[in-house]
Amino acid sequence: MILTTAFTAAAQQTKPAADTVKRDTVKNRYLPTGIRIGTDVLALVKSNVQNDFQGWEVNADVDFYRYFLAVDYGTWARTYFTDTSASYSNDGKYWRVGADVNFLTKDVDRNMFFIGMRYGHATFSENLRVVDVDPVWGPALRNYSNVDITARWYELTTGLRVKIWQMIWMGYTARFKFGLKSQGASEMLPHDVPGYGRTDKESYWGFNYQIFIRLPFRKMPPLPPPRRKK
Amino acid sequence: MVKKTGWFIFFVAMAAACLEEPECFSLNNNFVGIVFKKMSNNTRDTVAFTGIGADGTDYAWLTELTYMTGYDTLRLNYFNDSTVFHFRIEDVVYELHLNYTAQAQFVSEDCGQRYVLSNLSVGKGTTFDSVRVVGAVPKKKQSTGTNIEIYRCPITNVIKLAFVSPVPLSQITADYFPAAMTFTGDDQSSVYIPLDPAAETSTITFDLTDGTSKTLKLDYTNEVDTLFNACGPQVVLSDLKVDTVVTNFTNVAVARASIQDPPLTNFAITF
Repeated sequence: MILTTAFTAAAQQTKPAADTVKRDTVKNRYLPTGIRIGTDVLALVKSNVQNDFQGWEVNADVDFYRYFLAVDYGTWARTYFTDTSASYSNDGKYWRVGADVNFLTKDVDRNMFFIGMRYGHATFSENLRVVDVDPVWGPALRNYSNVDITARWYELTTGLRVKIWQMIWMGYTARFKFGLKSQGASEMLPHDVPGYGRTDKESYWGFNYQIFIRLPFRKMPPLPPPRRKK
Repeated sequence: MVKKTGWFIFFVAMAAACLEEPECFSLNNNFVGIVFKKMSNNTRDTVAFTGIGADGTDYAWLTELTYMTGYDTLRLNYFNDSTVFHFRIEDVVYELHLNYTAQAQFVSEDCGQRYVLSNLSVGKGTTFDSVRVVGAVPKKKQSTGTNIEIYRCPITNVIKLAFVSPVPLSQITADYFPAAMTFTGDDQSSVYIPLDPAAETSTITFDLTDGTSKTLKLDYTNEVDTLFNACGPQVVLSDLKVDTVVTNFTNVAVARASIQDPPLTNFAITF
């Protein structure tokens, strides 16, 4: 009995202390887990359907927990003809860089609803051929051009990224573009900026519909447990 | 929930992405408004023109004698960066050289292009006394506003004579006049007379319709003075006095012994 008591006492003494160290469940939380690369489907459709537009866009983002670094790159060309035989064309490249914040942090499928910002930049050339008759100054045939001029703007973005199947994702991005400023224009004012749109508006709405492939390079950290109601 | 949110945002974005097409009316801003002013008191000046034209066009904004204080719809040539206007007052032609930046811009397939003008300035070769740009951005057609103020230097040798009773004048002559001032129609209650700036006295003869004549001889001082830098040295006449020996009006009362621009009554004359 003494021996049993002794063993019991010893067992009680060797019982490990309660774990007071908080387990770190979010270790390396902010390290990227994969890269998502996609393209704007609307741009591809417009290039095939519309006679006056040619362009494509590639989008990519990398996650840092709920924060995403986003980069876009694209080309864009437009051609217009008027009833008076005048014509306009532009051709250029653009890129955007920015960040998004995901507000669906507990979605099991890791779908994403985000709000973000972008800085956009374009380099482009445009040409305007004018056939005009002024009642005072008479007829004129003129060519105006801007060569390799640049423009920059800002965007507020929002949208969704939804996992469709394994590595395939789809998404929308709505863009509120503003703060357009161009440099290098001389005899001709820009009409259409690749990546931005028409220049006659102080702000401009844009929309992309995208398909992505996500390439993971490490396992995503587990979702935080649901908070227990006290 | 996610799907519904997605569709909602999709349709909102598509609706917001619809852009209005620009209107095609009055796209160019190639009109300038000018006013004529007196440098002496910065008030509007009434000028008589017989014609307004420009280099590079046969179009005439004015073809007959017109009194005006300004012109609201001079049209700049947006195919160039400058326009030279000619203002004709009888045989004298004044030139107004205007320089600006003209840029073309495509608007839409329906509207075509427009021209945006800016940085309006006055060029060398302008022959008006003084010109000031008060609005460097030309305006659109049917817009109001002044872009150019054209000033004339003060006239320093013209007096105003008021007649106590209206007088039936036929002509006024002086040996320094290039031609007689003739009158037809109603009796005159006042006249504006230029004095000889090269002398210190002027003798003026008034011929009435009944064949009688009266003579007014005025003495004054003339000095060269720079009233405004833009005008340079000018001969200024002052200290007007009536020579009572030669003058044969019943009475000549002095109202002002100095010359004003615009002229105010200097003498009240009783025939």
